[in-house]
Order: sequence, then structure tokens, then C-alpha cells
Amino acid sequence: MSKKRKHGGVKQGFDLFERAQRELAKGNVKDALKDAKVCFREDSRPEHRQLLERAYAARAEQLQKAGLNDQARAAFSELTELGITAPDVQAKLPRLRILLGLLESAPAGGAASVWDRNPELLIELADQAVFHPQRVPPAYAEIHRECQRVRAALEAVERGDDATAAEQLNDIPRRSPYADWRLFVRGLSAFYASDADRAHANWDRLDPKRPAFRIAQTLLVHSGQLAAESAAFSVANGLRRLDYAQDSDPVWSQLKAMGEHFQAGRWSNLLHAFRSFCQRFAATHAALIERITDMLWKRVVREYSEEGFERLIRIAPAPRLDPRWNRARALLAEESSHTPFDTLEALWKAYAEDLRQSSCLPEDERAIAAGLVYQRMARAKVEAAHREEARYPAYCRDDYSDAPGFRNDAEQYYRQSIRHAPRLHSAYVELATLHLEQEDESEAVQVYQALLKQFPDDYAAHVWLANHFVEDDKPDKAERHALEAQRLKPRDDLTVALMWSQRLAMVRMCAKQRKFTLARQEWEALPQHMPAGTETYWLDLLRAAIEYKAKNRDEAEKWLAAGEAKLKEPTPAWMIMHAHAARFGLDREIKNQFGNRFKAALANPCCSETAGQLTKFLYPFVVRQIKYVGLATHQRLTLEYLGRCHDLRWQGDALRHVVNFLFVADSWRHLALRDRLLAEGCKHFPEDPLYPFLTGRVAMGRGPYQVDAQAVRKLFEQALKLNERAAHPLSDELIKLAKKAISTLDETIEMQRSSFFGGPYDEEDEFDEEDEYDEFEDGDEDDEYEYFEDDGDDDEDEFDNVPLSDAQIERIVPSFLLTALKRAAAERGVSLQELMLQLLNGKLLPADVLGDAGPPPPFGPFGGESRRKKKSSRR
Amino acid sequence: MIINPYEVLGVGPEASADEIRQRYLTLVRQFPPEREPQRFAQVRAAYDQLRDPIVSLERRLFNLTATDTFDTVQATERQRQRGRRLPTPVLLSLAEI
Repeated sequence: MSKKRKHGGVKQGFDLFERAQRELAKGNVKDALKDAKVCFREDSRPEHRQLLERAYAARAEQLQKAGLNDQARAAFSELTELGITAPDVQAKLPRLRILLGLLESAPAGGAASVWDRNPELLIELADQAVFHPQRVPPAYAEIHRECQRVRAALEAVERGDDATAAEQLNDIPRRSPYADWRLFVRGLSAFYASDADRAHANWDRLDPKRPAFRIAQTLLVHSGQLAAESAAFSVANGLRRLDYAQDSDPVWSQLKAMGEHFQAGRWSNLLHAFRSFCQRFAATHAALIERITDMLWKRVVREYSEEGFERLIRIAPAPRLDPRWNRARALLAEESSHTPFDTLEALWKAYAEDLRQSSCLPEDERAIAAGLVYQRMARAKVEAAHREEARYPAYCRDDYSDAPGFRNDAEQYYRQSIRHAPRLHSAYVELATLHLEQEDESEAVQVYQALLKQFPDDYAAHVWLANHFVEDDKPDKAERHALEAQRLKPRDDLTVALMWSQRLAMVRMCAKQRKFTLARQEWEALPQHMPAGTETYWLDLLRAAIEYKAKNRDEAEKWLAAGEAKLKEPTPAWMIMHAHAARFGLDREIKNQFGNRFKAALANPCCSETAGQLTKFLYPFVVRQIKYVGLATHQRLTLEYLGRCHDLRWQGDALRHVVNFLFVADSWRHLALRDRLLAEGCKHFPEDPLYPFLTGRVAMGRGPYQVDAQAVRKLFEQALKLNERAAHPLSDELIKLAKKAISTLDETIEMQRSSFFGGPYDEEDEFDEEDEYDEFEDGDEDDEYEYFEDDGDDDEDEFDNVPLSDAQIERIVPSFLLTALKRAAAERGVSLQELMLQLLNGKLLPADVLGDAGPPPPFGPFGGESRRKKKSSRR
Repeated sequence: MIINPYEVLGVGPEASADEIRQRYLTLVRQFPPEREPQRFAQVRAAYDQLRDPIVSLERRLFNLTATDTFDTVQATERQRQRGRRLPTPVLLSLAEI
């Protein structure tokens, strides 16, 4: 650009000359030429002339580079008319002539010799032609032809048509200046095809001074196949151009914007951007849109944004797995606690229908998906049933709650689920659980049998069925399942226990059916199934029972004597024989004989071993609620016997059996005995983890309001620590219970620290005199809110006359609650009825009475659990 | 259940059973149980989830944890762009002539 003269008083010619030189040096060729012309016109000295020649040459070159060949030739023509005296301009002439196409087609020794003398010019022209075909003079037809081939090949590679690209390059001679470009294009095809070896084979032969090499290096660095430091030159600019090209991509730029809106939580902007994205790229980027839609709908459902959901479904195409958005609506409805169940059901049913009709899944997956949908509906119904049941006490549940209806619906849905997806294992298990919750074992049996048809190697199902049949006194039906369980997991504790109980039941069944030979054979096979810790004298007594049943009295008494000889006192043997007499159906005479002996023997001074053996035998019957005639009597007499066991030197094993038995005996009258013996166990057997564990369980029974959580926590920790080296370690189940207890106690500690229990009491709470309950206080002695006031006896209490007797209370109240109530009544020395009165009158708080009213824990040598709990473990 | 077995195995949600298996075998060779027991356990648990067709389908139907984030979508798109064939003018501009 010309600069305006600002200062006067300087010779114009001198200024112009210097200015022209400066402009030429800076590359402002046009201005330099103008000044140089003026200088030369004013003073045609040699320096001015040579400057003008250089300016013309530079201008011609500049115009040629800009593709303005006509103007470049005009400038060159003016130069040649002027005449050339500057040696540097003279040297440039041939090159300029070539670049401007002023060279004639080669006669021999003419143009050809120019090319031969300036091969680099040919290469430069060839390279320029690839980038700017319009700059190459039309006279160079060959150059144009080959350049067009190279361009066509590059465009074919861009389209993905590598075959056409290869064809275009075939006719380029090896010595052609475009040979380098042929190598480049071949390498480029290989590069895009991820054929690194072939790409390198071509690109390693490129001329490093030519542009194709630069392009190849930049591509290799960008793709990570070459380190930037290892490149032959700086590729930073090329990489920036590639990134810019990618960033400018409309898909990328919109994606980036949407990502920013998403991160910032700008949902309105995000959905707006996504709408335009969908409209623009629906045909070309369907997969990408689907991924984004998946992300967005899950987010709006998780955050329960109904408005966001409605907007999204208006914008985005429905997912393939949810063609009418019913699934998403159902999941959204599940997140809300206000959605009516009917609505939720309708949505899931609609989705099940969508799955049936659409082809989004293969046929086999469609059926499974439908099964899963019905299973989900069933689970929701079960959950609803549990919630309903929690609202009503058991005695009026069926009349007032909707729980039975929910359970019925759940059953139907589970059956539909299994019908659609017979291989949906969890559906079977959950359906069986549903039946067991309703104590419908026969239905549960059918479900497990159906499960085994699909999953013949399901260990848990075999174990459950085997145990069920054994307890139902059908050991023959149990045998198949027991053997399958043994095949699947021969060393599992459950299998060992199962095989033992099944074989015992077989012995009894054979004897009862008078198949004595078979019974004896079964008896002889027993030792191989005997769990560790089983008393050998039991086998002797069992054999005695068989022989008594077979009327072989002498043989029977021989076995009886053998069994008695293994005991310090025969008392346990007589109790066991009395039990066998009932279970084997022995003659009344024999039964009475052993019954009398047992009762008489109990009058003897107490003995640790006897107490241990009695309780060890009774324990599995109590835990698994296996009844026989006389069991209640045995329990009662044994408890009485234990009650007389004062100042006894307990053996370790015996005391363990006794305390285990006391825990499951469900006898609130003997709680003090239990606690006393636990204390003795802790004192005399400090290495046994059972005693601190059970002591902790007892303490937790007082409930979260009264338990000394810190101290009890230490008991469980001590139990777990002792268990590491214990001679009689706790079972896995008890260890889990101990860990769970520690976790529960941690929460209790936290709760006790909170203001509700131990913190400062806010007098401006609901008991404030000025709150809404004022209306009930004015002279109304029957105020129901008097419950909150500590006013001692209140003769006018409306709950004075409780119509229920102790027996009625025992019938109505659930057993786990009854235990706690009975214990509280015993501790206070009142009847159940009086205790209830105190509760209802507010003289006692529920917290004072109720604690951990759950079912007794499972423990003992058989690892047995209560029947109720065993049902849940079978599930 | 692992929150995102796809992430643990490094496969996309559309990966086929064969791809999942191959990836699992690769990771097991990388994290053998005797040297990296925890990582192996994670990989194994993720594989068990994905190879069970019912568990996998249940996850695809009901799981509300998106397998993608905008970062992963952008990374995939970027990868796709890198693999794309450049327009000729862009390609030639790399030579800076």
C-alpha cells in the first residue's frame, strides 16, 4: 500500500528509489513497481533501471502465483521490452518463461533442453498444477493431462473409490514428475483402509522436498502412527488445520454445543439444539441421534422430569426398543409415588404388546423381554402387597387391606412371565416365594418342580424339595432330589445335612412299612452320611427302634444296652426311645416303659452331659418344627430339668447345646435361665465365640431405645475375633448375622446421638400448650391426648374396660410380638391383659415393651434354622 | 451388580456376544487372576453380567443408567471423523502451498 508523504523538503527521486527498494524487499511488489517506474522515468540511471527490472520480474512472478497469468505475461512482456541488464533477473528468465507458458513446445535442443536443464522447474510446475491447475499455462498439455489424472485419483480416494483411483494413476510414467503423487495416492488409499504396511511402503519413497511428503507426514502424526517429534518437519500448522476442519464439521460443532448445555443443565437450550440436530441429520446420523436420545430420556426419567420427557418425545425419534415410548412412560411412572397402579399396569401391558408386535428384537429375545415385563409387574404387585400388609395388623388384614388382591395379581403376572419366558429362573423363585409367604407349600412344590424341568441342575431347588418331602414324611420322594443335590455339591454343608435327614427318614419309613430288611440296610448305610458331631449312640437307639418294631425284643435290648453304655446316664437314651416309640409307632407298652423311665430319671441330680444330650436331640425338632407326639412334653420336662441345674460344673459342649436349645425353645419363662447360663458360658468358656454372640443377640432384643449399643457392639466384635481361632467356630450364617448386627448397632448409635433421643428437647414442639390441640384440653377429662401427659393413674380413662382375655390376646397377636409381650409381662409380674391395659392407657410406651421382636436366630450343630426362616432360605 | 459392565470391559452397548467374549479374553490375559485378583474379579463379574442373555436384556430394557455420556459420544464422533476421508482441498491444504 502506498504511504502518503507526510514530510516535505526531501528529494523525491531519492526517496522514491529507497522506498521502492524497501517495498520490494517487503514483498509489496505492486507499489514497488509503481515507484520504480517513476524513478526510472525521472532518472534512467542504471540502478533505477535494474530496480525496475527486478520489480517487473517480481510482479510477473507474483501475478503468476496468484493465477493471473495474462497479467503476469503482460508484466513479463514489459520487462522484455525494457530489456534485461540485471544478472539476477537474467537468471530468472527461463523459469519465468516456463511458469508463464511462454516456452514453445520443444523442438529438439529447444524446449526439451530447457526442461532437461531445469528439472526442478518441471517438478515445481507439476506440484503447482496439482494445487492450482489454473496457474499452469494451457501450453503444457502433458502437465495438465497428468495433473488432471492425479486430481481425479484424489477425488476418487475421497469418495472411497480406490479402484478408480488406481486406474487413473496407471498411465503415469515412472519418470513423470507426477510419479511422486502416484505414490502418495496409493499410500493414501492404504492409509484410509488402515493398511499401515502398504501406506508406509508407498510413503517411505516420497521425495521429502515435495508437498506430498508433507501431507503424508501430517496425516501420520494426526493418526498417531508417527510421533510429532519424529516428523521431518513441524506439522503443527497442518494439525491445526485438520482440527479446524473437524471442528468446523457441523455435526461436531452441534454435538459440542449440546454437550455444553447438558453439562450446564440448560435443558431448554439442549432440547432446542437437539431438535435442530435431529431435523438436519436424521438421515445421515441416525445411530448418533439414537445414542443421544437414550442418554436424554434416561436422565429425564431418573430426575422425574415429566415436562422434560414430554418435550423430548416430541423432538426425538423413539428408541428401537421402545417404539411408542411406553416403556419410558412406565419407568417414569414408577419413579412417582402418585401414579395410580392401574396407569402403571396399563403402560407395562402396552409395552409388552409393543414388544410382541415390533421387530426390534429377535424372536427369542422378544419372548424373554415380555417375560421380564410381566415379572416387573409382578414385583410391583408384591411390593404393593407388602406395603398394604404393613398398614394393617394380621387379624384384620384380610378384611380391610387390598393385599390379597395384589398377591393374586402378582401370581398371575408371574405365571404369564414364565409362560413367555420359561427360562426366566428368577420368576420361578419369586413365585415360589410368593406361595411360601402365604404358607401354600403345595403350590411352591409345583413351582419348584416346574423350575427343575427347565433347570435340572438347580441345586437350591433340589435341596428345598428334598427338605420339604422329608419334613412331610415322604423320604422316598425326597430321595431323588437329595441324590441330585449330592451329585451337584457333594461337600456342601446343606447337602450333608440333607442326606442325613433323608436317610434317617428312609429308615423310619421302611420300619413303619414293616420292610425291616430294607430298614436295616438303610441303617447300615447311615454312617457314610453321618455329619460330624453326630452321636454314635443315636444309631444304636435307632437300630433298637427297628428291632422293637420288628418284635425282636432281645435284639432291640441288645442295641439299647449298647447305646446306654455310651452315656454317663441313660436318661437321654430313654427320652430318645420314647420319641422313637411315637415316631415308629411302637407298641404302647414299650412307649410307656420308656416314658416312665425317662420321667423317673429326670428326678436324679442334674448332670451336665445329660442336659447337653437331651437338648442336642430336641434342638432340630424345635428349630424345624418337626412334630411328634410327646415332643411338647419332652420340651417341658427338659426345661424343668434345666431349671434345676444350679451350681453345675458345665462341660463345654453340653453348655453350648443347652443355650442353643434355650434360644429356640420360645419359652419366655426361662429367659432368666438362659441369661444366667449365657453369663456362665462367658465366664467359664471365654474362648468360645458363641456366648458373646448370643449375649449380644439378647441385648439387641431390648430394642433400639434401650440397648447399650456401644457395649453390645463390642460383644459382636469380640465374637468375630474369637471365631478366628475357635475350636467350635460360628457358622457362616451366624457370622453374617454378627456383621449385620454391628452395622445395625452403628446406625443405632447414630440415632441415639441425634436430637430425637439425646439432644436438647425443643419445647416448642407438638406438645406446646398453644398448639392446635388446645381445643381438647378445656375441662375434657377424657381427652385422648392425655396419653402424652404424665398424669399417673387415670380412673376415667376410656380404655379401662378391655374386653380381651389372655387367651384372646394370644390368639390375635402375632407370635413374634407375643413373645415380647409375654416377656414384658413376666418381668413386671402382671398378666398379658394387664400389660395391654397399661399400654393402651399410656402407662407403658410400646418402646418399653417391644424390642427386636424378630424370629429366633439360626444356630446349632445341624446349622438348622427355624422352619419359617428355612422357607425363606430355600427361596 | 456392577454399575456399568460395558465400561469395565470397554465395549459399546451394541457389541455382539463374540466381541464381548474377545474383549473379555484380552482383559484376562492382561489381568490374570494370580497377578491382579481384584481387577480380574471385576472383569469376570462384568463378563458374567453381559454374557447371560437374560441379565443383558433386562439391563437393556430397564436400566436407567445411560451407557453413554456426551463425552463418550463426542469421542466416538471424533474417532469417526479421524477415520473419515478428508475432502481433497483440506488434504492439499496440509502441504501449505
